[in-house]
Amino acid sequence: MDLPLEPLLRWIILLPVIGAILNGVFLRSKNGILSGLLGTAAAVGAFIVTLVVIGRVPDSHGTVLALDPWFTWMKTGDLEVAFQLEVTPLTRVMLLVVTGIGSLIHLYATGYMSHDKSPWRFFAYLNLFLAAMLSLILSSNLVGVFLGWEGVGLCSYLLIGFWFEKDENAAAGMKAFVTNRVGDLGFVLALMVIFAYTRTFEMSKLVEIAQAGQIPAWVWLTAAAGIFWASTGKSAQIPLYVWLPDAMAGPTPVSALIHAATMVTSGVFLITRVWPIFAGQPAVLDVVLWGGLATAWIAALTALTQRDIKKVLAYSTVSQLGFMFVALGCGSPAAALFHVVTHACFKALLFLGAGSVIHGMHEKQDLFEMGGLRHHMKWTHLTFLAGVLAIIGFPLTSGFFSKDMIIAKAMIRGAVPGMLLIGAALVTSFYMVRAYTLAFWGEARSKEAAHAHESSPIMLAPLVVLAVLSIFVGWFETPEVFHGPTKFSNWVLQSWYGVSPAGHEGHLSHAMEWILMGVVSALSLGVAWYSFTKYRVFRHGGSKATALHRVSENKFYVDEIYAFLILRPLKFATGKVTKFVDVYVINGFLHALRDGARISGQVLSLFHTGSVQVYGWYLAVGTVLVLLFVRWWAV
Amino acid sequence: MSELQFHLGLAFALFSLGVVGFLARRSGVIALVCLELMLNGVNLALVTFSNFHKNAEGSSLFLFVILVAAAEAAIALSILVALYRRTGSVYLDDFKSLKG
Repeated sequence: MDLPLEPLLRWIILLPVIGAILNGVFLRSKNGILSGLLGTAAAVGAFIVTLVVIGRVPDSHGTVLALDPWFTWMKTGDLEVAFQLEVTPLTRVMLLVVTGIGSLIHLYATGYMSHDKSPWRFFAYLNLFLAAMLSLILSSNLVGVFLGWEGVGLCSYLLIGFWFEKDENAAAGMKAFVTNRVGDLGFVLALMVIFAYTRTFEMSKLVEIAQAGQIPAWVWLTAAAGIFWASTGKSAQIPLYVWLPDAMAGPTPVSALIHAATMVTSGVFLITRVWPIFAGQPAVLDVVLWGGLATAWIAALTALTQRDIKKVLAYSTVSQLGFMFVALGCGSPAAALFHVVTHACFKALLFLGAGSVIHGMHEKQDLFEMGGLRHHMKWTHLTFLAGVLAIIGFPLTSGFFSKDMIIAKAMIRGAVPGMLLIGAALVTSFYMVRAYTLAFWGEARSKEAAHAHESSPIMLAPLVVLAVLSIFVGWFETPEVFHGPTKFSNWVLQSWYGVSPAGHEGHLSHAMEWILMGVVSALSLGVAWYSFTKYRVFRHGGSKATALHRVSENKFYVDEIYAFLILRPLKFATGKVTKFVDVYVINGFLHALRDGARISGQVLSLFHTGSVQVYGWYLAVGTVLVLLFVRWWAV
Repeated sequence: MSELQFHLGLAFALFSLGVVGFLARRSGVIALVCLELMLNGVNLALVTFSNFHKNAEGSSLFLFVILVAAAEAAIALSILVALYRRTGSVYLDDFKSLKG
């Protein structure tokens, strides 16, 4: 096949790298606007290059729309890894999301971080994150993906702990890093197994080999399981989701970009990227499905009672990621990736809106202390409302289309997952409207809320753009009954190198689809209205908290359970091992060394008499012995 | 007994006398004299072999030994003199302060 070469691709990664180096190494400016604009310029540059590349290649070009064989990264024996970039119809979407929303968030951060002590550090990290994320998306082989995977993990760690003077921020960064390492173990395992049996990391070749079916089935099972395990870490699924809510310790633009819109979706992205490996593994897909459902429910229930506005959004993110995994588990990567895109728009919007609220409230994040903010922050209020409408699936907003698609796929899969998913969607309506109403309606419940101020235009502009996107971006993929475009499904069909993996094919009847859409929308709006009236007039500590309420408020005690079941035995065991090694191995070695030197010294000093003639005797006897040895024993 | 055997026997006797004297006598001066005896025993052997093989290797080595022996004697005697001035003794048994 004639591959379309595109040397421009490397600049999508290089521009943010250059931005990071300029900001982090050379400029190191305390001027927030200067650093911010430099960072934004790098992101916008990447966005423009992306647009140019995408504009140049038509949809009909096949699987690989553009290819950049940049350089050979390593070559030893059988192993040859090229740093090669490629664009497929699906990665094209991710590219647009990451560079586009990334640019908007950089712009917003320029306003948000303008009073920080070291903005240059922030923007250097943010650009570096962008570069890592883009190499994760662009790389044509799994090693490059892994490089990006670890890179985004590192940047996430650096940015969560950006205000490291406070211990809990540093601890949150550490928690995110360590939890992700546990997940990455699965990735490494998958890489090793795949290479051992296929001798290649190139995804295009892997897909071919997977189709040829000469490799034992357990290899693909192990690979799929390992990649899924890694994805539960990065994409915050049960059991490894615990780091994401704590990651909110970072600055709010970071929460929006990394911990809502882009990095956390990389697990979903990776699974869609190597979908042919997963398509043949119904057992793994079942785990993905039920794990996703459980995550969607637990996170949604936790979000119901959180008081911190960012915590609500964080658990909402975990819950929505659960939706995406359900879509994957139902065998529909198109639905999953579609929800990635719409979620990236409205969740980035919600986080940036929350950031604007926090800014206006002088760094207060407690919903119970807000109230009545719609009078003081008109633009923030309206854009936040757009985000809320999108996430609860208000008809014809972006969330409506993507959630409807996932719910329809779940319904095809079975009534139980379908119903459970609808339930999770209804809980989403409740807690999102609760957060919105508590913040913007009712009376001001604190001094800060009464005197809140609107944010600067540089922060509001991205909000407006994202609000427009959140409302309209859903029209790329419409339900069958609409007879509209179905771009994601088409791209999916194209994206695996001409191979069309068998999925769970099935259709709902048109009547069923209309009913589903109508009922879910009606229920969702009903729940939203109930939540709105319930929290419109709100006072602290009105009713007594029920047991269930306390369980939710305490995040299902998951952190405590992990501390008890995993951390405590681990600390105990490592304590014992360290003690053993310290006392017996290290000390033992040193003591043996010391005693050996002392005893041999004592023995040898007996021969050291100080008398010249005794030394003469040693010499004479020694010479005779040597002579005898030479004469009799040595030939 | 050939001439060679005679000369080598004489060399061995000289060397052995030196060794026994060095190990057995207590006086530092005698010990030095015995050192010279040993050296001369070796010198005699060198010259003997040189004569036997009809080449100059042994003889030239002998010249070096003479040289070294002269230097050694000068240094050793001056150390002995210094020791005598300091302690009033040249008996080797009196010098054991380097005992380990």
